[in-house]
Amino acid sequence: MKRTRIRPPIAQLLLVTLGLAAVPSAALGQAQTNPAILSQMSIEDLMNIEVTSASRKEQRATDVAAAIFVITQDDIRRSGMTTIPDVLRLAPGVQVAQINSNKWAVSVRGFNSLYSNKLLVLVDGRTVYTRLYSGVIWDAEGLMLDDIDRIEVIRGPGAALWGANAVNGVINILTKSAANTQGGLVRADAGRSGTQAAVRYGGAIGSGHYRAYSQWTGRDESLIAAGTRADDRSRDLTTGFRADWTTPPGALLLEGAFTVGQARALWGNLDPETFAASPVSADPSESKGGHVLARWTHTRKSGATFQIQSFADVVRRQEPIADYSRHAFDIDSQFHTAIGARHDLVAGAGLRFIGEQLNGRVGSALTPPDDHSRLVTAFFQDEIALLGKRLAVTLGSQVQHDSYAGLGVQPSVRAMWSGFSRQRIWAAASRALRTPSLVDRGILVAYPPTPTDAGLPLFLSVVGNPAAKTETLVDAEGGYRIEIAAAASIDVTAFTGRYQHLQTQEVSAPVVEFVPSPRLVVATHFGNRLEATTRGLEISGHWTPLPAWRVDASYSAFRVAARLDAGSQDPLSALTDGNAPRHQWQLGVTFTPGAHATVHFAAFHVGRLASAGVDAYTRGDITAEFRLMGRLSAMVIGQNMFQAAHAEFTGDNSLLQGTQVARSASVRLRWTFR
Amino acid sequence: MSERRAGRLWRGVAALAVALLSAGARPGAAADAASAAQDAALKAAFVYKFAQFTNWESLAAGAPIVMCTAGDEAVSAALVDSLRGQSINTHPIDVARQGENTTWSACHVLFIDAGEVRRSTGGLSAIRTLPILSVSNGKGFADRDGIIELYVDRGKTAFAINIDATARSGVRLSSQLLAHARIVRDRDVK
Repeated sequence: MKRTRIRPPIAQLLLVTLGLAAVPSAALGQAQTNPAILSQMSIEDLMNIEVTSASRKEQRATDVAAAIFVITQDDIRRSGMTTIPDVLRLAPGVQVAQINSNKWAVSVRGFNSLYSNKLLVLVDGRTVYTRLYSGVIWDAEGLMLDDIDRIEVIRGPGAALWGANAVNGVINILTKSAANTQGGLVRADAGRSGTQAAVRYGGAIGSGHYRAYSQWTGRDESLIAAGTRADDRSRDLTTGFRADWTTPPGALLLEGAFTVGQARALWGNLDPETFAASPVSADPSESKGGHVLARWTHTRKSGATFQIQSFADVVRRQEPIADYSRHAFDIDSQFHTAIGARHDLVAGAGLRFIGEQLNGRVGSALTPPDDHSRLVTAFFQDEIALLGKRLAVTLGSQVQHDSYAGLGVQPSVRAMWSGFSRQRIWAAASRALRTPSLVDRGILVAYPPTPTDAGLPLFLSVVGNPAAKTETLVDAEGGYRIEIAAAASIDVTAFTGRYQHLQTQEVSAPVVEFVPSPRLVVATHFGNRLEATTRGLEISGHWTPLPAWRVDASYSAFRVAARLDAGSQDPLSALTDGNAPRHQWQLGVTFTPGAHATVHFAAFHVGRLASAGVDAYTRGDITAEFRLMGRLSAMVIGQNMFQAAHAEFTGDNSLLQGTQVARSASVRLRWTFR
Repeated sequence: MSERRAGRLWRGVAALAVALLSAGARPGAAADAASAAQDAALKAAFVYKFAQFTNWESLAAGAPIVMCTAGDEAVSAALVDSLRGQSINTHPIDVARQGENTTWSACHVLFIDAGEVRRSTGGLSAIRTLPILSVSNGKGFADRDGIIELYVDRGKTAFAINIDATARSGVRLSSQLLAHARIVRDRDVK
């Protein structure tokens, strides 16, 4: 599939520019020229580097121009974190806010929400966003963090290559090849915020390898305020496998997983006919889901590759407000080849069928309650080497046909200059589309009544718009990277984006109704009457002053200026700050005194969220890992050290209530065996 | 930006695309230089790895490990690049530069480029009993007095170690290194 084929070269670019000491072995499919990094690799990794004609093409592919950050397995491990959204805090320019103990709002470059709808998330090439609201149900992916090879976070539009929904970012999660997870692993985490237990075993199967794993996560309650628990426990169990066979010239990947979970949350009053005090506890959400994926890659002697991938997934959720189910089937192919000495071409096509059903309970409904859609995509990208390979220009476009939104074109042009030693300068212009979700088109939410001065209670409702428009983004960005020997690197990106047809909530004139009881009724309809201009700056870097020390730091600034179309009845939306702070920064310091211990400290500062009314906070984490004997290690983890409890987000217009994240301490034991 | 201006932008992009595509179609020959630099970096990385898995009895604690190259300046440059300030255990690394009148007997590691092997067979036999880890990408190097021969197997780098030559030289190689090598002996020589 297009995603995975392009990934390794981009990862390499990062390895080169950031001078990462830990080189994920799956990224080593191709060679590169940085001697300092090569000398850090193991002999096995060196022996895996392609030195044939393929290297010429791959060499060029290292220079893909995009704002990208790679979270490595080492980063994940020393962070002490146990969920994917938390791990994403490590990337610059990503907004991660915990809503309650088991829900997160995650976005890149703003427009953050529990229902963030401009982000594409992939796990091993499988799209995990749901078309219901074009967002990601983060608690449905019980990924075992130990088996993740790396997470590539691409800020900015990636639609030309990645397709639907890659509007303001792409998060590409890649798990390790089964060959790299041989033997057994047992891990247990226990502490204030919850418990997690994971078991994995990998072995050989014919000429290939497999692993099977299971992970149980139990998350403890967050707080309503310091000292008051929020009744939002959750638990989930994921069991899965991955198998890889490599028999040149072909390679086969099979994977699958099944997750069952239960989550409690604090809700607002769910009954639109009563004035019950808010918040209330409701029945837990029950969820189950699973997927299978297969991918075949054929590599020709020339280095050209052909890949075909297919996946199917099923999701079923019973929420206090609605029952939701989805089944999806996707097939995708991709061809990648060099043409002459200058052109590197990737082209592909895909087809996806999605069937979804939402049956509302009290206060919500979807019209029509079920939907079957078809998405056809095709894309090409050509990277052209110019000026003696110092300049690489990449032209690409994706064309999609959506059974609801019709034809969409998402082109991009990128250029990278690598004529100065250890430096890269790049620029890109792209267009990306966010097609309307089922919720945008057909939702009805009736909010519980609010008393008013007039004496009549106010009944507010939100109504979808069957004629919802596609949101568009035209984005320009540019960046500079410099690597200062192998010891330090700096990466700077500036961007500006222009969004059109952003969703608004158009308020109709109040109506007085007398049945079933006297009331004031105000309906708001979704419109597309907002334009916004975003701009921002993202700086990240690392520094290794001494072999035992490593410092990582990043800073991001973000601004959004929104303008309403004349005639819009949603004045508040023009005041949005995109639920992203104007400033956020992070600092990580890692000290490795020897082979037996690693101490890591991290601070994450998130500025005030003005629209949501959430104060600025600084999260402080510290971890210390000790290798006790042989293959057994122990880690002590302290999270949110600076405050007893703090809020990171609000319920965000949904009936779900935001809570506070508490300070916590936990212990992790990790044992590996052959 | 209005819709019309956005439209103009995309027309501009399309025009640029056409211009670049036609420019890119002209034949060029810059790829080989990059490819060569990459090869050299990879060879240098292997040389460094080999040294990490080698023990020289004669080497005093804290004394530098001297790495020499013959014939391929790019490998020498890559070694300098990657090993600046590095050490192996307690030993700092010195990369003896090309062209300096280095006596091979002062080297602990010697990389000989394939072209050089063909020219200097005589010189090679002169160092066969010295504790020098000799490495080359010359075909048949490990069959003729050399210790480690780098070769390409199905597109990837592999290496052969002549354990008789290793024993003669007096350097000791770690079993971890031997485990990855094709082992050859003098009697394999036809």
